[in-house]
Parts: sequence; structure tokens; C-alpha cells
Amino acid sequence: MPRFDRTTGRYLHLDVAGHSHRVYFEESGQGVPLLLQHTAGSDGKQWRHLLEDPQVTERFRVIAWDLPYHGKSLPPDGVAWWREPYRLTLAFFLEFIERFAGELALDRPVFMGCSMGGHIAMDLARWKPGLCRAVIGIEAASRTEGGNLDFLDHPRIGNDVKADLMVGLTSPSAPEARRREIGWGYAQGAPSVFRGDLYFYSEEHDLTHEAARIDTSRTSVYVLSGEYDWSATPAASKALADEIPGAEFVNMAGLGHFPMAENPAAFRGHLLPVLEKILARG
Amino acid sequence: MAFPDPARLSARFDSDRELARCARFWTGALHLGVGAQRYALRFEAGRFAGAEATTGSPGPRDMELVAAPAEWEKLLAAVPPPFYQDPFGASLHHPVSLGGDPETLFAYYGALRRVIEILREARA
Repeated sequence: MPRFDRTTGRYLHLDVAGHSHRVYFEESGQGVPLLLQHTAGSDGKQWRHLLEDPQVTERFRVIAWDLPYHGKSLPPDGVAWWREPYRLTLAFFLEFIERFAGELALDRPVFMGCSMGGHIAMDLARWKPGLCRAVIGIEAASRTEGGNLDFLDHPRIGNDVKADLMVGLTSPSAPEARRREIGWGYAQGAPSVFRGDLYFYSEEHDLTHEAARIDTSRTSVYVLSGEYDWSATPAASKALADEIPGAEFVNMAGLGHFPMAENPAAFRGHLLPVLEKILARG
Repeated sequence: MAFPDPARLSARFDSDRELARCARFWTGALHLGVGAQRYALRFEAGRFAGAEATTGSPGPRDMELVAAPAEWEKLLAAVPPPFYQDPFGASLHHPVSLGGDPETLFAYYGALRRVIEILREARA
């Protein structure tokens, strides 16, 4: 007998920002839609453990996509991507998520993202109130400084640096195979994409003066933060949660920047109570 | 616990397959500053070529990591405190300095990380 995962994958054609995108996504389970956004420069396989978790999939339709230009979602035809630097913008990101949910007729999904996915989770709550019943921002912050990122897209520096830096963002107590798998994923990204994603992460995303305006009666907000994340630090995540009336903050001791991928067993211990609360709120 | 003398770990550096992969094609040196004490780990065409105390400064294909002994205690702890698990993260949040040639630093960042892991393993 073949041994299959629960997860299945397929492509969705989606018009976003004037171009037709062929978007790869994987899904598992049934129930309340739970949309998952990967980190900058990576793809949806970071969520593979959650997609296989029966305690989640028995009540949630779990969906993890590869954002255009990532993983199996190729750059769209009609864009001369080889002539211009890739840049992820807030407007594109918001439109993509809204259209994806609309195309699949998802009723008030839950949105969960990590790092840039955590940042856009907060933007969704602010700029698309009510689109999602809840957002879960993992490693989210009001604003994250980027600094000089030239080395992430440099002809003399290989993709190894992305892998090595990202392994360095994980917790030292996470299983090594999981930590290294994160690096493997980062080594596969197109050279300009990580830096282009960080344009959104460090430049366009800025809720410094907006987080307090998030209406958690329309979209409930949860902020989860790993103790070892030196990029979007626990202090920054806590400060964000404190600014949002009604938001909840969860400190994840012994986890780093990629909790769902670096230590899935420890992460679910923090996530399941949050999902229970969301289901209870309806 | 004292900082391990890199010269005494030459056999480990020389035989480490991950370090050899990370350092491929590199001719240069990794300088480690522990307070006033400096060490240089040299690489030639991707092969470990020796480690010794030095008084020299990093050259054009070199990188360096400098911290006080108390900071090295945290960098080399079996389970480092938050942000000390990675030299870049430590340099952002703690009194730890990364320097040298930026291209070399990032091209061979994996080699730097692996050297720290070997030092950490040597103290365990």
C-alpha cells in the first residue's frame, strides 16, 4: 500500500495586480479555513507538520500557499522579472490574500503567518477588518528594521548565507534536522526574492502609528513570539500586542523565528489553545 | 571556563567535513578576538591551513568576531542565552562585534558558524 500524506496540492489561477498568477497551494482537513503564510524567501512547505496534524485538520481546512515567485508558484507571464528587482509590496500582499480567500469562497477564514506572514497578519487586521475572523501573527512586530541587505542578493555571495543565517534564527534546543530543513528551504529561493520580500518586511510594513486602531471586535488578534528570535524580537512582539486593544500575546520559550518548522511539537502546544479560543468565539 | 585554544583544535578543524564544505574555495582567515587575545584560523583554497595566536589585523579576504571573555562564555554555552545562538544575532543585540571584509563574512558565514560550533563542542 502506498503511504500518502493527508496533504494534497494543486494550482489556483488568480488575477492579482493586473497579472494572472498560477498559485500553488496545499491543503488538508475540513472545517474553518485556516490560511497559512510562509516567511520571507521561503515557501509553504514550512507548514508541512501542521498540515499533517489531525488535532488541527479535524476542525480546520488548513491551506498553505506558495506566494507568487516562491516555491512552485512561478513568476507570472507578462512580467519581465529578469529585468527588474523583485519587490513584495503591501498592496500586492493584501490583494493576493483577499482574492485567494474570495476565489475559494472561504467564509471569514483564520489567517496565520510567520515573520513577514506575521507582519501581514497584522496589516490584514488593520486594513481589511472583518475579512478574517482572527489573525495569528507569529514573530510579528509593528515595524522591523532591515539595515543593509545587499548581501542577500549579491553575485559574489551564494544562497548559502540565507540558509546559514536562518538556521541561526532558530532555537539551539530545536531538533537539528528541523533546523537544517529550514536552511534547505532558504537555499532554494531565487536570489532576489528574499531581499524583495524583506522590502515589505522592513520598509512597507509599518504599524507604528496604526496598531492601536486595529478593531479586534471584527478580527481577533493573537501575537506569538519565540524567545530566540533576534529579528522580530519577543520584546517587539509584546510591544505590538500591548498596542492593540484586545490582542493576546503568547511567549514561546525555547523557540526561535520559525516555530512551526523548527520544533512543530513544541509549537502546537502554544497554538492549540489559541485555535480553541478562536473556535469558541465563532 | 577558559576559551579553548584554537591551535589545539587543529585536527578537529582539519577533519570537519561541514567546515570543509562551508569554506570551499576560501583563501583567507577568521580572526577571533577574546578580550585582548587574538587568534587566526587560516584557510587556503578551501582547506583549513592552521590556527595560531596573532597580533595582526584582518586582511582583505578575512573576517573577525570579537567579544569580551564573558560574552564568549555565552556564545559557547551548551545552550546559549537568547540571541547568542548566532554570531549575527549576537552582534545585533549584545556587545559582540562582527567585522572584516563584508563579502567574505557573508560568503563564508557558514564557516564562521561551524567554527563556533566546534569551539562549543570542544568545551562540552
